[in-house]
Amino acid sequence: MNTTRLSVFLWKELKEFTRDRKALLVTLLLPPLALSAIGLVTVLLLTQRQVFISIVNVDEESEIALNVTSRLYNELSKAGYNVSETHDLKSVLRDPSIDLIVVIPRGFTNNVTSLDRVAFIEVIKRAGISSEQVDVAENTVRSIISTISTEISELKISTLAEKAGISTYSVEAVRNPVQVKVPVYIGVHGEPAKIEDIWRPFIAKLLILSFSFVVTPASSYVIDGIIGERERKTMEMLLASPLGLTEFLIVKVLAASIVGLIAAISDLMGLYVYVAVLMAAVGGFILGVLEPGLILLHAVISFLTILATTSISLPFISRTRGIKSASSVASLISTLGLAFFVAGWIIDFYKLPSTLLKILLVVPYTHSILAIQAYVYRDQLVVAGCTLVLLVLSTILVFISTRTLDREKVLLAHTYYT
Amino acid sequence: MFLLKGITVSAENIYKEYGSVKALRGVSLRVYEGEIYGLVGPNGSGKTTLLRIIAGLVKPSRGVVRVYGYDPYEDFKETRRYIGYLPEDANTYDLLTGYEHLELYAKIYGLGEDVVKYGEELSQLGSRLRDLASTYSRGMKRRLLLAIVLMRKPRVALLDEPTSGLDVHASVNVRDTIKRYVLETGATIIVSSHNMLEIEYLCTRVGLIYRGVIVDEGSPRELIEKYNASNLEEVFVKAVGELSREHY
Repeated sequence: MNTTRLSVFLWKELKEFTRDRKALLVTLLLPPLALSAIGLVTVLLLTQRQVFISIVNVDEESEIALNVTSRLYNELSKAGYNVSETHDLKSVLRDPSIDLIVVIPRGFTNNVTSLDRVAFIEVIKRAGISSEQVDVAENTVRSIISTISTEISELKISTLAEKAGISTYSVEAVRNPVQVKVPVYIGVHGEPAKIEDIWRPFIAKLLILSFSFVVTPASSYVIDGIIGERERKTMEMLLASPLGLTEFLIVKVLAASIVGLIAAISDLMGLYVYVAVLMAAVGGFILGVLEPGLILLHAVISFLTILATTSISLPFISRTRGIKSASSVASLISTLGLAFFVAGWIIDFYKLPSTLLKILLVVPYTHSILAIQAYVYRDQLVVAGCTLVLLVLSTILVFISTRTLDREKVLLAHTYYT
Repeated sequence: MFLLKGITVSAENIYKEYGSVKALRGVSLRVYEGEIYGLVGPNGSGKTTLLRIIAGLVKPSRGVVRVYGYDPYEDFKETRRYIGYLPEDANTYDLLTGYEHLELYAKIYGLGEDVVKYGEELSQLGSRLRDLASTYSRGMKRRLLLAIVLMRKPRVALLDEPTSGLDVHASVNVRDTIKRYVLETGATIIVSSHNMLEIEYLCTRVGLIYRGVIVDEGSPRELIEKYNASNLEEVFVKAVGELSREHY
């Protein structure tokens, strides 16, 4: 293998890529622009969706029930909900525009003022497509009712204490004598966790999911590189030159992996902006916890994942006659990758039983997932091991792929001219 | 490794089968130094397969091919320095300039600036070499590709239908380049074509190929006299006709 020839041909491949304005636009600019635009539109749509709440007071005209109704009405209106007030439960139940119904039932006043009964307020939710905002509205209702409940219990406890002649007491100690403190986060080694430590698993999951964006285009780049070169009739002269088949295929795989890496970074940026925009809409902040080490690891693993994918698909793609059949083969391999990376979003591979993990390690994508997840657990040994295995595996796969092919197979691929 | 003096390319009893399709059925030929050998035959007669076998891109099912004593398929690396190959429908890279094409191939062959300069000269594209190949006409592309093949002065140039699809002016230009190249370098050219008049003009010796067999061989003049014909087209019809009666 001649490195000068490899670099000359690789340079040509990358030069062509940089001159292809459409490819550049689609690969580099489109993902961050499109995903941030989608994020903004989603936020805009979220804010436009209105939740309609109806408060139904069926406890006659008691002062307490009226007060609770009025409190709920005012605070929910202040929170931006569309609130209405009625006594007619039946008509509200039949009105599909009402998402949430808060019912102050008959006997509420009697119960709330007694010492041996609990007063219930019913919350009725209408099943719908987008229930997240209704869930948020329900939480707001619960929070208002909880405040009202605390105030009433304060009144009851202070009255009872006065009657019993107890001067030293705490309402909270009587109402809620055993409580769970706000959870304390710790790091892998027991140290107090920083904000980055809390966010890192989520970001790692995001990075693993973003691998699924790179496996499909990686195969497409190899398809274009080999089948495209054959169909554009530029391959035969190259194969007849000293470049030879092995160097030709290695450059195609490398070029696809480099372009794939650029696309992966661009996709990741887009995904990041998308999530950041969504989080900003609900008051969160994600960009502050970007970790250079994790991002660098992601870039390396992305490159190796693409390299492994292209190496696996190479022998199949090279043998197929046209772009359609090559795409079918590539999509099968991409689906395998997709299934693994979606699993990596849900499952902690790092904590799987070792017997099961050993079987999964046969698939290169397991190493990609494990490297990122091990980084979260600060297990540098596993990170290094997975990266190394992925590198060695990709190299072996490239080697095997190029060895299973010969000039005739790649050039003719079941077609020939006499 | 044996070396036949004066013989640059030899093929002995070459067969090539693609599944049930027999592309070549016992082709034998010898081509000498400084010769322009023409392979004449209709589409599907086996010209491209034979040239691909000599170029080392396709392995014969049976038979022996030698280029300067080497097996072009097995000794692929060694034969690269001798062979230049222009495929029939070869194309250029749209996003590279003509000059970048010359530079790319010169570097792939490990050659320097002087070769690129010669390539520029051969292409006769002048300042258009700085433009992207996507702006070239078919004739310009063919001239560029021919220049890529010939710029490093290969001892054996295999040209598959070099003027296919070109207009009259472009065809004449390509033929002149080939003739000039042989005069300058004394290299061997094997050129395939279904254009008999082109072959008659260019070649010192001709092989008539039909259904994977070379049915006759000789200089255009010899063949015309042998078949008592007025041109090669007539020769071909008569040769194939006789063969059909004898063998088919």
